[in-house]
Amino acid sequence: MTYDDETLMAYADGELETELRHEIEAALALDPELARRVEAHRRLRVQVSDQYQAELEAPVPDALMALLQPGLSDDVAPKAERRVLPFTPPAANDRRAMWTNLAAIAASLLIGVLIGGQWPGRDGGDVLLRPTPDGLFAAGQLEAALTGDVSGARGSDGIEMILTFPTADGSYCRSFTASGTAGIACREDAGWQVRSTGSLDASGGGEIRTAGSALPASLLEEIDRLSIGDPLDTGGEAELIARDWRPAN
Amino acid sequence: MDANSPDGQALQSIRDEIITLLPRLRRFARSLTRDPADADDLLQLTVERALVKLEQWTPGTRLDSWMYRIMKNIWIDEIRARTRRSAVFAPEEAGERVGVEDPDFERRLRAMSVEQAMETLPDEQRLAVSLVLVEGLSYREAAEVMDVPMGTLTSRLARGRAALEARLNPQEGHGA
Repeated sequence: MTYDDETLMAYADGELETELRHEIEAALALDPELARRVEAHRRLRVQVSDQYQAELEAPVPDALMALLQPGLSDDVAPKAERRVLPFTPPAANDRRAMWTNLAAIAASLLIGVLIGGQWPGRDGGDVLLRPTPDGLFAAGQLEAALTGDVSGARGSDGIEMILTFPTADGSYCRSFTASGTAGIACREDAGWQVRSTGSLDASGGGEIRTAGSALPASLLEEIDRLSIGDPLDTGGEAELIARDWRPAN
Repeated sequence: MDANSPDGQALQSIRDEIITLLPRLRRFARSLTRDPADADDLLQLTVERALVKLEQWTPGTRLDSWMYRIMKNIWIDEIRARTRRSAVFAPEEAGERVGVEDPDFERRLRAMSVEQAMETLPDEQRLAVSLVLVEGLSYREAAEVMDVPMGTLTSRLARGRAALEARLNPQEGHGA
């Protein structure tokens, strides 16, 4: 039995229907030349696909991101549009992880704009977020505020902790605001992982309210999802700050 | 008035979805046009056109296929001619290997790089190869993006692969 090249190609690509596939499988065992042709198709596929894999990790041009996030432009009238970006770290299993990772980097560029661009009295010198293979982590004054401030006390840098709540894995997450932006960060071994952010309702003007209700609805939902108990009071927070956020045991 | 027309929030969520597609779209662009600047232009034009035509996308259908199709059309209409011009000035990469100790040297010298070989393919074959081998689409999905029947897709794919095989692995091409 002979097979044309299109059929063998479709077999190598996993595109054949069951019956014909079984027929070819049987023939392959008996015919080394057939097996060699199928193998050539598979090898070429890998050869070509590998050539372009690196493209998935290249940074996305800023102009493109600006195009897709029009609300971030300063000149545009501030529409009270709420955006929430999930920053769940990619599951490190398949090749998809690579482009998920790039998407995370793209998202981190975005959050950099979201927070860094709107920061008062800042000339872009201070880094507040650092992307890592495990996700996006707080840095600089944001990290310091998450680690050392109790909720409700607005720091001179405009960063304010809103509330602190316990999570299922025994650690803690905190919601925070910073001039127009709200976010949730959770304590990990490596620091504060920023899970999501959203823009605050523009109706608040420049003022940040301390009430949880000032947060975008999607962030409140996220808090509901992560939280396994009541928010901590100031005393509880002070205790955690004192022991550097290590879980009690 | 149309209940199905996306409101502002839905539009932003589509934009967010496009952001997650950017790495794949850019890879597709790079497999179609070798020049990085042309590829970035192609990506930019694709996103611009998608944003303008966003209402024409049917929610529930695949956004990635829709955007691949937009990119394919722009490539055929606009970028291709430019790529052809710049290809004339492409450096000869094989020459850079001279002097390197390599037992496989002669075969490598004869073998083109994947990118060079891709450039030699006729457009329709190159599209088929890019969609299936680089982007990992199924034959059916690739046929839909290209607006051709399955049989046409498989025949273009087979011819494109045969040409690549002959150029990339020349010795193996003459039999075991």
